[in-house]
Amino acid sequence: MSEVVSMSSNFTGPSGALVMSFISMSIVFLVIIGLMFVMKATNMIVTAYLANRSRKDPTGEGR
Amino acid sequence: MDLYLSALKGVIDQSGIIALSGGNLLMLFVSFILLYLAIVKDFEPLLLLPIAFGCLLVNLPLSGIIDEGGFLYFVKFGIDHELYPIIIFMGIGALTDFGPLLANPVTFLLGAAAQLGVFVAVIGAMMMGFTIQEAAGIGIIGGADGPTAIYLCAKLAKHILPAVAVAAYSYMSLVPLIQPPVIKLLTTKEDRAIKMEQLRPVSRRERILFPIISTIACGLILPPSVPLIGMLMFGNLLRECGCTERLNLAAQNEVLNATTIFLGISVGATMSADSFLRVETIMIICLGLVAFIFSTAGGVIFGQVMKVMTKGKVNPIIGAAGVSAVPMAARVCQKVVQKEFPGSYILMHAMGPNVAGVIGTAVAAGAMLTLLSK
Repeated sequence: MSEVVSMSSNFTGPSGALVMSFISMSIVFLVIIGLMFVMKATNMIVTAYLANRSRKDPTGEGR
Repeated sequence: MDLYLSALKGVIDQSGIIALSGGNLLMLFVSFILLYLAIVKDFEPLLLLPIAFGCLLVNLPLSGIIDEGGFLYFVKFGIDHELYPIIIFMGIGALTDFGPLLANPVTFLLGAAAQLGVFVAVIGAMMMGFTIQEAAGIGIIGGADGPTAIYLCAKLAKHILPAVAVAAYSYMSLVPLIQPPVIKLLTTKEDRAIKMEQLRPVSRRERILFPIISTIACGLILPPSVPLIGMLMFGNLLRECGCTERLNLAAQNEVLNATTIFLGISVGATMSADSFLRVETIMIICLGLVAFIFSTAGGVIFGQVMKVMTKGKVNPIIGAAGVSAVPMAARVCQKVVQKEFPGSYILMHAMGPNVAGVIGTAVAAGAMLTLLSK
């Protein structure tokens, strides 16, 4: 089993804080951009699903 | 008579009056100020009042209320083991409508940009001599999210928790005073006049899928963020699924309210004279303000970028709502616009970045936990 090593010792002094802040901020942006794409994809899938359903069931009784 | 006098002497010897120190008196004064702000000035009273009263209780000497076996000793368990912030996140999830964010996902980026102050304060705190763990605990004040600040601070630097909690909730209550000058400084009158298009309706399926998918995505990328994001999304799923109305109502009312009382009183209970009356406390409060200002600025500046990229379709003010204080930051944006342009409504557009800010702060906390946990 791999051991998780603490990275905190790499961030010392103001320059360490700068590096840590840069890494954290980029993680925040990456995760948020990822979630943004998840939202877009969810919207596209749901829209396609509903369009497909309304084509099969134009009366909308199956909804 | 002798028995009466010796009993009276015993009572006096064991009374708090004799044991009351100067530090206790000063902390009692601090609790009065907090009570005044909560009751008279209506500054975030739901939290400030329990905090103030917890502070008052813990600074009455010899009561034993915080000692091992005392009432607050057990109540504090929820804060020592990070239970209350997580339960509160569930309640926030149950109260939050992710609709505006789902309708306009690009505004999610504003929630990320408004974390700028967190990292500016981290650098500032390191320059002032704090350790990197303490700096992270201080910086998260800029996220304007009390439960996340408490969660991160309890994990990384428990000894500065009282100052961080008080600073976080004080600045959250001061959002209507802090944000407008920053917004006005970074926007022109033409910017503030921009009217945004109406948001599209969001289907129930999207609302149900979002909390599930985002929990999995965040959990896989940043495991330490799972307690916060997971419970936020669980609360939201209770709200959106439509088949757990009783649980949804319990999460956003009884559970949230009860936990808020215990959280507040526990935070107050950490404000003993010896842990709070330090030079560091003043430094933390000052850094918190810097964090808050920079977070607002980060959101508005990114709003300006989005305005340019969308050719003037985004009102940059909504970036200020990217600090999480829900829904106060969004309301502040609306008030700033409405003051100059009555009839202009950006509240729903501002709610998108506002709820994105909650997620952004939790992700920032998760990122710092991953990097800094010992």
